[in-house]
Amino acid sequence: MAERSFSKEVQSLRKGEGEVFRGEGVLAVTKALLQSRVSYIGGYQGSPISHMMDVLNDAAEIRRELGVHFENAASEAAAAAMLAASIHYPLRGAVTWKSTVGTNVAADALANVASAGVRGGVLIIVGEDYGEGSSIMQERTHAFAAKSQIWLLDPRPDLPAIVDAVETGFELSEATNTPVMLMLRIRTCHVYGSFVSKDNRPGHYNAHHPLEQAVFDYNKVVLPPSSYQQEQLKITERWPEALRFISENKLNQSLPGDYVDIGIIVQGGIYNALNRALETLDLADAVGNSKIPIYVLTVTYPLIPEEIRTFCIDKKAVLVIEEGQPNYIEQSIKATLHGTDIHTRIHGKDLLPAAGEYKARILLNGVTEFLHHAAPAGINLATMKSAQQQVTQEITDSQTALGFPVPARPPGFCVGCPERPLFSALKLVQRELGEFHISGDIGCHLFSTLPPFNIGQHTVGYGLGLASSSGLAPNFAKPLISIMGDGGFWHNGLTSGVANAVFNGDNGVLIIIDNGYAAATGHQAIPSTDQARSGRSVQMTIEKAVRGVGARWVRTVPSYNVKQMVTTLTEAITQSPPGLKIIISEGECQLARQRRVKRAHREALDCGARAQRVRLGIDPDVCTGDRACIRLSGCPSLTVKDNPDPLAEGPVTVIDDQCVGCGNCGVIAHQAGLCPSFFEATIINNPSWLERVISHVRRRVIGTLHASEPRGR
Amino acid sequence: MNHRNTRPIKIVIGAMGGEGGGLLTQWMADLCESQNFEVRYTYVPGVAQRTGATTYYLEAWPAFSDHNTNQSMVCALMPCPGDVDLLLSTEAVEAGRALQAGFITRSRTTVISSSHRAYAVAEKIAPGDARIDPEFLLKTVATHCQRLVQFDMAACAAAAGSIINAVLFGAVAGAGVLPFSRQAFIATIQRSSTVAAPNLAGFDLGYAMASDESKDLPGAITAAKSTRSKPTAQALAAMEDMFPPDIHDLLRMTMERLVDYQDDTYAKLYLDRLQTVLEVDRANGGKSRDYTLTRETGRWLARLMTYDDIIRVADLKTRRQRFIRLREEVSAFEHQVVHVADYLKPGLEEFVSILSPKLAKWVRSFSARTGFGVNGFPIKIKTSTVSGFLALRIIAGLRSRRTRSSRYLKEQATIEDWLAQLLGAARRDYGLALEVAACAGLIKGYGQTHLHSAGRFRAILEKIPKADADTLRRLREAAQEPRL
Repeated sequence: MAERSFSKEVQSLRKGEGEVFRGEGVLAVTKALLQSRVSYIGGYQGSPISHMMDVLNDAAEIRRELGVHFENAASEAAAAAMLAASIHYPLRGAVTWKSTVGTNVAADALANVASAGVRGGVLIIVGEDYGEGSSIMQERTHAFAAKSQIWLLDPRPDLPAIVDAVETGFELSEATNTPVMLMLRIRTCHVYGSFVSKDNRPGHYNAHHPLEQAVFDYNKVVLPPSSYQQEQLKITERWPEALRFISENKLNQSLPGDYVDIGIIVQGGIYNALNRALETLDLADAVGNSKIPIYVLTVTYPLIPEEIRTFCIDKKAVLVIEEGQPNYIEQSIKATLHGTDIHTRIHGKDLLPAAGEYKARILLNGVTEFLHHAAPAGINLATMKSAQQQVTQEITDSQTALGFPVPARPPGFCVGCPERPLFSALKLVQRELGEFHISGDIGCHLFSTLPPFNIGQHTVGYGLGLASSSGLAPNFAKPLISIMGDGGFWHNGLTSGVANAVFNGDNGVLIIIDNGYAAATGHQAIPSTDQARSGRSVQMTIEKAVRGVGARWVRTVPSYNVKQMVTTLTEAITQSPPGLKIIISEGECQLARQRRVKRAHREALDCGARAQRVRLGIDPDVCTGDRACIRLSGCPSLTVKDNPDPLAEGPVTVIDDQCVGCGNCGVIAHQAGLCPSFFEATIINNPSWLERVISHVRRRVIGTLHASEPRGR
Repeated sequence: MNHRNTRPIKIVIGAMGGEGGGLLTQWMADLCESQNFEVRYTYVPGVAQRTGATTYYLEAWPAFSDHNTNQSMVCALMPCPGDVDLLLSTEAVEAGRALQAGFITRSRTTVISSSHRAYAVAEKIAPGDARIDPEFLLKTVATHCQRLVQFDMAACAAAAGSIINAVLFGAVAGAGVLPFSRQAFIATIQRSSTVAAPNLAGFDLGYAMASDESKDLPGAITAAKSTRSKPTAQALAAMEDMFPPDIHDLLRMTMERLVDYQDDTYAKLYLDRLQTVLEVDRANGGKSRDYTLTRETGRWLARLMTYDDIIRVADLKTRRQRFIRLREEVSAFEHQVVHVADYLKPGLEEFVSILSPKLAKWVRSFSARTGFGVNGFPIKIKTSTVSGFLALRIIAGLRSRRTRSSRYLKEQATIEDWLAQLLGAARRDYGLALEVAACAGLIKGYGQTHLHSAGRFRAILEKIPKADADTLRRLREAAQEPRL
């Protein structure tokens, strides 16, 4: 079961015609899919759409009833390849992933499906991981849509608009035989709101009513001459049909305003932030009645030249608000107007930042600049500016008040994380053998690059930790160490990493971190997840897989055993036989484990059964206060407090209540020879009578010994 | 209705992973909806990690959306600087973070924040004390917001057995910043969860604190101070005769420590040593400098003389007060059985050093020949069992033999050397002498850490005759960089 359970929320997926649905963005999208006659859904988890995968998993019963097949695909490529189902057959399908990284992985299948064209409607739901909270390189999905001629929807971040985009998206896809992409920004995926439901509708064909007849049509195969023909079709038929459909169904909205000589063109996803900026300037109200005409692009690819011309024709200046770079939309609008007799000045990135997320305050400044340049009739700019002056001054005062930046609090390894001891071991090994070049991968383990570990020089993609060492290793005196998570391993690391290295005879050390789940994205099951926990009928082991592709030197080490890890790493680094040496660092994700353990503990307490918990502690009068333990372990439950010794300087370390008793700090203290202040306490609830007796005797004896302490000690 | 005159209430919740910021946001949403407000909220979850700062943003609007006209509130999805009505923060630095983001402004924002601190990694790993003072933070916030309600919500949560979000929710109700009744808040908690009791307890405490019903924090758990051996009245009187009153307090503390560490004779040795320093201090204008040199030397000398050895560790680990403190620290109740195991890793040197010099020499040469004990002895000793306790008590009992051990002799030689350098320096330059005193702070830790730091200390001692105060300070600071 994944980290977050939606078992309660998915009940709202059953809502029927006219009922009001309340919930988060991804849940609304799921409901919209069920209302849209989909036959299959697939995807690969990753923020911000991880919850959508969780919702779909938790909605198994509803899916079954509607005959919707759902696949936790092995990768985005595998998910995208599912769309082949809609090439020949009237099956509607949807896939989802984190973009642009997932779209990169899926690009091969996407481009082929887009070329062949689709008969059943196809919706690709991408979580645009851009701006605050993103964990990847900052790019736009827009380019993928444009280069493959896939239509791109970017609806307003309100639930009714999103649901509408899903439903209309399928119609657009079928009307134009083209896949449609639906782009949802991070906050949009999680926005809570409401919309009016429709009944769920099963697909025309599904597991309950399967297709009977196989279709063969060479025109749909992406090979010459079909591929040449398909390119022509994109331009001569699908594209004009898309323009017609988008126009006729008014997918984009032209909102009226009082100041008719200026206007704003905005991506749907940014519209809400724009409205707030206008509201602050007293140019709009809270429900979106604007004094400036706005053209909202629900479809950001393709643009509709006719609509753009109509919007611009009587305006002296128009501001294009387009997030990210390059500014494809602005360029395209300029090209559309070029050579016509419309001489509207088009502003965009000249007044707004060329790169980065467009937050409300940035938009406010951009719009103010625009008004200054455009000088529309009827707006008193001086009044507007002075109204803003006080707020601006207050903001500046607040921002500079402290005089120093507050410390960053990036996400990091959790309390008791099984990956931390591995990186402590690496730190200890580096203390003895010097610094290594360590190739990182994608996953929680990449937090090793942050203090206190500072381990991992680069990361170039999911499952690519080992492959990313293959160019440097032969040119480097010391062996390279590569990291790979179990998620990345099954995603592609087994082939692009391990098989590749064995095949090419590469040397080096690979550490595969087996924590049992795709942990960073919320504990989705992967092929090596324990069967009892994944609820599946299969479980594949990493060790067998790597041996299967020819790896010879493979060791599995429990990650909490720092001593064994240090020894094994040292052996792998220093031993002479060349080739790939693989260490599987095994330890279940502590977050997942604690969910189980804590529930069991609570249940035991509730029924009065014996239950024990373990906690680590530090004797403050023994602690030296040098905090090497924090630098070596970095566990969040290791924190500091005032030194009880008035003669000493600086705080001492203390273990707070978050401690889950993994014992790693104590083990590290042993391994690194730190101070003897760590202790482990086992607290037993409802002890057995024998335990009670033994404990009583011990406490009496020790108590007597205490009484004999010289002078009251 | 006339939308032009209606603006949503904008609420930012700054929390850290694991503090229930998501649940608090859901409570706020449910509360507003139950009072006929329309609600939008969103957040950036930062995938599954637990430790990062997370911001939740909520807008509430006193009107229902009209699904027929599609006219409803347009939520900005993210807070806009200068445009936040209510800022909730589960920790003091998070309030500071909101201030720096511009989410707290003078004419608009009510801030409700916990005053406790959860330290960031940067604060924890920096050498020395890099902790940010929450009092300063919240004072700054207070002068840049409309109203600040702050108290230690972590302590309240601990007292109520809830998590911090329930206390904060109670504070929102108690502060009276939203136009909803206390009952409406309570009903929200009751609707949301099957285990409402601890949350309601946390809520009540938060409500009381914020509504001025009570300003007394629930009693924080204070570790029992260990009762220590005390210096005799005679010894204290002698000290007071010898030393200027300004430093009596310090010396009472240090003497207590020395008696506790060894015995009265050892405390006497301490005072004798410090007296030679006092004389030189006096001769070099110490009176006009508040006897800073004597004070600083007194502080460091006490630390050097009470060096950490396995006798000391065994002693501290077997004290009665330790067992009491320990049970409190791990929140164990009387009816629970608690087993304690200590992680100890004495090196061979640490064992050897408590032997007499002769015996120590023999064991060292034996180890050099056979490799015995070179990696130390990592042991996890069960101190709560009689045998484990006795083993440590026997080691602690070696205290009476400490002054005959090789380590003792070595430490005393180092101290004498340091004092001699210090006195020599004091005659040349008072500031230099203070730097020499501070060098004693370089020695720290156990085992390997101790050996390394003592090595660095001795290396610096050798440079003193030719150094000035500035050079010495730079050398000392460079030597303070942590190895790990």
